[in-house]
Amino acid sequence: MRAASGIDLRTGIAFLRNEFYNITIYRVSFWLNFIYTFLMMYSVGYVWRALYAANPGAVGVSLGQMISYAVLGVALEAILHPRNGPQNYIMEQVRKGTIEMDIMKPVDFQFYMFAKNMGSLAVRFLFLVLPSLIAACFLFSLKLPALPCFLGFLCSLACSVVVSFFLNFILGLLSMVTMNIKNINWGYNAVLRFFSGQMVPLWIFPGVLGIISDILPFRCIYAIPMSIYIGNDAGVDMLKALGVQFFWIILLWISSRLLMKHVFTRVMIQGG
Amino acid sequence: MIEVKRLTKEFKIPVQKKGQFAAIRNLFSGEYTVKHAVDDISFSVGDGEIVGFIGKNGAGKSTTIKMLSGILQPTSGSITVDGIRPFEQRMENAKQIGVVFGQKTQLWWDVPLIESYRLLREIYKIDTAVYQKNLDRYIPMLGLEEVINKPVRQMSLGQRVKSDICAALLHSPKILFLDEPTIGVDVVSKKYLHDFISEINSEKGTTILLTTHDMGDIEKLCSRVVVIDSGHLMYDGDLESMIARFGAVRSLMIEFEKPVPDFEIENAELTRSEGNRKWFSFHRSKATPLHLVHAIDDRFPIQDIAIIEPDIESIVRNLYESS
Repeated sequence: MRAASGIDLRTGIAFLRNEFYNITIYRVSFWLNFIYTFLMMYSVGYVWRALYAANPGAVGVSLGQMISYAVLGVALEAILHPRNGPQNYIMEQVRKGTIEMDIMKPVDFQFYMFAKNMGSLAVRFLFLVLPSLIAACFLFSLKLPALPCFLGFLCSLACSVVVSFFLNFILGLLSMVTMNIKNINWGYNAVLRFFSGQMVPLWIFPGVLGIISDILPFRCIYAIPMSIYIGNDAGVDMLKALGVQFFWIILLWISSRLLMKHVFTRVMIQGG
Repeated sequence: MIEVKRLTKEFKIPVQKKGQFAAIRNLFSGEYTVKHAVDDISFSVGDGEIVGFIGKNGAGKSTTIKMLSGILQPTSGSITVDGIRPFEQRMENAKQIGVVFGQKTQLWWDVPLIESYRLLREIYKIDTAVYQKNLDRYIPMLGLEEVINKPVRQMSLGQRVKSDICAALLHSPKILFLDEPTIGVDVVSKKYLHDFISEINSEKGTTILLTTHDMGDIEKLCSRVVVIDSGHLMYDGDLESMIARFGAVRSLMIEFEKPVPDFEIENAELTRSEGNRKWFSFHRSKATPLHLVHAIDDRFPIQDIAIIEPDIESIVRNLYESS
């Protein structure tokens, strides 16, 4: 069954290679992104410094932890921003009318999009995030966390990437029906930024907002891996947080498969 | 190889409302009209045949190709492509067919052509030896050497179509669907494509179904044609009998030594007059060019003649009008 759907590592790596070309071709946009990422890290670091100078105890973690959290938030956004997700490719193909050529290929469409997305993510991470992160480390003299924290963070980051992919993929499928992605992406990013803890840590949210952000899947993308990294979710809390991510992965996986089947049937009956 | 029985495809087209809040009312409206894109079509294509699929825009050609490729579900009727039902067994079908849409590319826009091919090798699980053999054969045949490292977005249309045809053949498909492959392609590239397609067909025995508006494609490549109009099958048979049936009227151009007045002649009709030249149309069964030339030469001295065969476009027009 797996082989029949074309899912295997070699195909995945071939997609990764391809994505490398896609990104390196648009050099200007790449360098702009690079400068933006670096400047954002720099400014959020200083904003938190200024806030701590005015009111040291307001956030409940140390300044070093908070800066790590904020810098990581910018770094992760550079790879997980919805504009880098598969929904934009899907929409473009729908608009050009070439989505059929993708559906026609003997490879599972979701895997195809996943492999493509992982390719772009890996390239962005290596060339965009890593250099800015290293620079930020020196600039704010950030320390690497303890080994258990770091390993937990890596696991959590992998889950975060998968959750983010599923949500983006679902938006992509919806865009095949609504024929519009710009507005959906924009609205989604606004909600995502707010409820994922990418800009402002969720633990300082007041009652109701805190509960809403707990119910939504968005915190799996930024807040959970970042909290694990700075040691705010350690020990049992870390395992619980990973559990929440697993839960969402399963739920989103099943729902995206069902939605894909539904949308494809619709597209195949209606002819797009 | 391909069996199509009583194939029908209906599309439901939502009725667009007008007036106030039309955009919002459209969202909740369940009204639609039904369009029969393909209506009760049956035909079959034998192993190794090249069949031309002709019809006007919106006649249902592309819809049929999409159903044969498995990306569109038939409303009713049955299709088998080498024993496989395309929609229900999409993956299996995808591996045995190659599809080229002249106006759409299956290649990745920004990556060098060779990288697209490498990716296709993985997707189609093409054996390395087969892949290399096909590349070595098709690249020189199609003249793709100079674009192999270029991304598709930098290619001319002709180069892109040739690249797409090569891509569709990398996995040595048994059946090739070509949907308007020569649309917008220049004469030189067109000739390349014609030669290439007939060579693939004769060498590998690939079954080819070709839709086109270009009657040159049909004349060069197809011995058999299927004509559809508004989703209905109008004609299915060999090219020669179609010409004999619907292309019986030929034309004769005669250039006289000096201008002559318009005149009438038996079994032929004067259709055009320009300077020293006159054009006559005549029915194949009623007159021969030789007979006409003799009859005319008796009255006015002739300098030159040309016989104009009906082009397939006018044959198809006759075919449409006859029904």
